[in-house]
Amino acid sequence: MSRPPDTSKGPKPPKAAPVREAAEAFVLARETPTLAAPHARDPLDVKRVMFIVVAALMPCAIAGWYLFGLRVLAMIAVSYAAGGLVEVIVALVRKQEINEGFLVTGLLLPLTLPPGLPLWMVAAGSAFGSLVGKELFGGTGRNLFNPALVGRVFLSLAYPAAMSGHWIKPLCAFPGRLAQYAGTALPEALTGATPLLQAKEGHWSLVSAGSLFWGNVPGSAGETCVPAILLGAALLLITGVANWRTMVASLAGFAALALAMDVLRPGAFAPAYWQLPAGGLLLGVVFMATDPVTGPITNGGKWVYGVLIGAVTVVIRDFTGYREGVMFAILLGNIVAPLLDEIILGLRVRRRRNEP
Amino acid sequence: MLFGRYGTFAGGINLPDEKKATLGSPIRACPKPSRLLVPLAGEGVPSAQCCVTPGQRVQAGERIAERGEGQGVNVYAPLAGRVGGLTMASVIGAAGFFRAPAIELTDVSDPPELPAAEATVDHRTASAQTLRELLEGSDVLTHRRWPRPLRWWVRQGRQHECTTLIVNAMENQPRVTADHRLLVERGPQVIAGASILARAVGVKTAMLAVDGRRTGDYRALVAPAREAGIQLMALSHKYPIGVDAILVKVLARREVPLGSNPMRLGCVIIDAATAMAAWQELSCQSRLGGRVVTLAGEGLAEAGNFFVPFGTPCLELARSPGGFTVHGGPMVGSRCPADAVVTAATDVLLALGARPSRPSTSCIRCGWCTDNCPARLNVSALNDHFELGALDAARSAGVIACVECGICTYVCPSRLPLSQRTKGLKHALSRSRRGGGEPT
Repeated sequence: MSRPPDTSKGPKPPKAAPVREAAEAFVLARETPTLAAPHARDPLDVKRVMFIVVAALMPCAIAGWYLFGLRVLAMIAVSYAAGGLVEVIVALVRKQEINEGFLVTGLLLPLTLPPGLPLWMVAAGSAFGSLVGKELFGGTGRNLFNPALVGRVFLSLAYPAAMSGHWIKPLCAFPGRLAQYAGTALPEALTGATPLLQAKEGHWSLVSAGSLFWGNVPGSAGETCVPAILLGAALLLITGVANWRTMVASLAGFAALALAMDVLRPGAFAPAYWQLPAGGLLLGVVFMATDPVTGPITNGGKWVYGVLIGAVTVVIRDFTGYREGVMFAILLGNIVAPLLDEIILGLRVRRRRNEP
Repeated sequence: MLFGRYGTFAGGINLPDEKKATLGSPIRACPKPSRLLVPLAGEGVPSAQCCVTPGQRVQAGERIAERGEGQGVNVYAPLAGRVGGLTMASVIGAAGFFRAPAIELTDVSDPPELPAAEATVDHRTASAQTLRELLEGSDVLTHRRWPRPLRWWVRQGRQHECTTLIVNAMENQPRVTADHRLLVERGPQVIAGASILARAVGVKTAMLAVDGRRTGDYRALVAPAREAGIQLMALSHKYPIGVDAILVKVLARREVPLGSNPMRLGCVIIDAATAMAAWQELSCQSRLGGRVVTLAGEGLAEAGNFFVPFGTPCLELARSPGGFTVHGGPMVGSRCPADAVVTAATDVLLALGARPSRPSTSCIRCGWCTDNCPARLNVSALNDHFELGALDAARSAGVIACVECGICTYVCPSRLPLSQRTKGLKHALSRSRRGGGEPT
């Protein structure tokens, strides 16, 4: 790769050169002109997009490791291995390059699973998500549903007992569970109840909103620590990789319906301020609803899509037998996303035709 | 207020400007070319008939080919030299370069500076009819992306009863500074030319649209513009405001109807270089025989703005070792073939270091192309239509509104050649429409 000499900034210190080159390769590099028109390109390509999403998931993964122990890292490794195996086989059969997309899926799936889940189940979920959720549809960019969520749905339908029982109690005091392998080796850490389960039984007030915010509650590996999710969200929004409209609309839809429930049937359900940091809502809204492949393309569509996801989450949490609704809400959103685009664009073209 | 300010438009992006290298460099005479290949035809301009014989010496400004039928123009020698013979050269057209007949001139004289001629005729009092007759007899081409005779342009403007003339000096592709230098160095002449054109078409309002960041350089325009009754407009530099349809949308607050052109909204659009050429022809009764071209790029020893005679081979002006030369700017330009020559459309030549674009992957539906499309098209859906060959679906998605700005390819993280495909769909549609005999 030959780059033209950069004359605008003068010589750069040679010491930092390796670091700078590594950084350039991922985030900073300006593009050299391309042979095909137009002869300038935006440096942000799929590789960098995926890298930024993985980087944004890092705080969640580290928080999960801190709170729930080394098992979380083992789950991520197993998920990458199983999903990667599927990807390699598919790439060999199709004679294509291996897609970077699975770096995100393979990391996202374990973060949505109970940290005490048997590792072979993680492997099964990851392989299922990659194969059925993505590759059978034609690979990256052609899938209708978020592959990580397809994997999770598979697990929660195939192993309902394991998916609702293998929670681990978090350890907030330093050094947390950084060096512990909780699970079968540490049976006293296992628990069967999450805050949303308690809320279903009407005992939401047992858990304070503060501990929900900081992550001092049992839950899926990456979903409990709200500050870590917010850090990732900030990175996604600053780089423009995720669309702010989807996030804002989802939270607005959720807050609106949850507040309406507070007013209409006070005391029947957990209040909105409590439900917001509970469960997988924020993780799902930040990292899964904003998945560009499965969401709508138009901005109008993104607003409707987001509101729909937020509202359906409340409905499922409050009125169905399921404790957690985000997963199904996003999958439902995935189904209507192409329809939303179709409607919005139809309106746009019609408006254009009516102009003089 | 010296400069009127206006709003902007939906879509579009802020490109890196990259004009610093040539922004302050004054217009100079270009280095002497080894030969000229003066094209006799253009897109929609039928070939002129050669009226010189090989071996004959010609003077600068001497007629070397006679106007053909209809839209043809006379062709004059840009420099003195010896006629080498009739050959072919590549000139730019609507769909890229195509080959046209050309007269080769060898042993050419040194190219001149951009002439600073004094007006010999004052047209400020001439009637519109007189101006039209003068333009009707002139051989000026519009200096737009595909040049047409100026007299055709005036006739079109009259036919559509246009009420607004917009001089488009936005020049908002990166690295292009030719019109900027022309406004800085020959501003009053450009204004005088614009006012001639405004009166010839018979418009009520005339505007000069410039980049809002450069108004400080254009102070000398203010007094002549006020005298000539031309409004100065300083606009946002968001790309692609320099595209006619978008500029009209910003200034007239109306969308150009699908498959139509700005004249339907009563706006005629011209550029600064044409206004200058019209002034030179009518007021000085001499021909420019060339135009200001920005030469830039990493492959060039000396970047700058040059007055280049028509017919100069592009690769002699800007050749980068191991690279390639782009005609017409980084976003909408095309790669120069070996025999490409400078025509009225050439505003910039870039000598760039080569690197093939990375292979494209499949669409991840991020929607950036759709977000940034100034024509508000769903480019990713059009990409699907292209892959499926669904021309009708593309038509109902409004692909005909595409302004060919290149933003979709620029932003695409999967490196899909989106603008190429959209352009392909659009041209296929307009071809089939023409073939079907439907009224446009």
